[in-house]
Amino acid sequence: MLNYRPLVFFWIAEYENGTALPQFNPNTGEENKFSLVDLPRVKRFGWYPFTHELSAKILKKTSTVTISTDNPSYVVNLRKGDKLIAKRENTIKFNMKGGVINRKTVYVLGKVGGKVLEIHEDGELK
Amino acid sequence: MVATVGVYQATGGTDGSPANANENEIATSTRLQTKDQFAPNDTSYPIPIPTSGYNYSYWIHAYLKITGGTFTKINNIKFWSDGAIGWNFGTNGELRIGNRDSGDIGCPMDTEYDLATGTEGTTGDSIEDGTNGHDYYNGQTTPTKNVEDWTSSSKATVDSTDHTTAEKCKAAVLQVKVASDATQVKVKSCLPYGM
Repeated sequence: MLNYRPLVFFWIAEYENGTALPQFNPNTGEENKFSLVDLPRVKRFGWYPFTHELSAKILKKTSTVTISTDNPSYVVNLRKGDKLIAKRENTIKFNMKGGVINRKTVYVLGKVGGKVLEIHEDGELK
Repeated sequence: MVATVGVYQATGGTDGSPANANENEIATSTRLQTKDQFAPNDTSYPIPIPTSGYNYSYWIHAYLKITGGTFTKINNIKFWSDGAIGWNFGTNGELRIGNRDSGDIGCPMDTEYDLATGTEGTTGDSIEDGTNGHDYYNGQTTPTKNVEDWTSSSKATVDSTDHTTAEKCKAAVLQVKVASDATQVKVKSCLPYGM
């Protein structure tokens, strides 16, 4: 049994000079850590659903399970000085008579002082 | 990518050094009882309804433990309930959680771990007890809060530390307080942990 929630979205950070850093290299499945994102240069940031092909590459490269879906993509445009909010919020329900159940992940996206989206694993907004 | 995180319970050992760390899973959930042990299927140590005053469960340390995976940072660990535990603890009885007057309410592990004590089969010591209570909480102005007071619209911050490596997070210290007019029922309680 998997002891983690499989990812259903991954991030791509687009820079002002037209380049981009994706969480996963689409050719190899290798991961780039979020700490590598040069935040002051980001002009657009988004959560994107996995394709079957990318999920397969990630599984092969890292043995990590991700789930491909037909969920929509969500992006936020950033201006100079905007502060990005992008994170995963995980909830674990700890039931005193039923153990640990119902783990879930919400993907959060927005900017400080602006609208913040809470995106569920099924692609729906909270 | 993803961190591997489990909900654990610490028992035994001595203050600052628990002997055991057991993971709560679907089939092996913690049990609030009148003994310091992780024994989900042991019903030998219920909390008797007192003829007067209160009886307590032994307190438990429940915490998230990051055991591996690849991740940048885990932080902002919250605790809340649905606001309606549903157990009848009697007048002023409650399911309570250790509380701090300021900052995170979680108990740093293992440094502030306090071995649960009491009289096995009868009652645990109250977290709030000035002598035998939990040392990380019993000197606070409000040493405990009713779990029902923490809801999705008012979450408790258990741990605001940035965790960047596999390690233990701060613990929610839980205890049941039972009054003489409590009633015995079979119910469930859900206590979400968020991060």
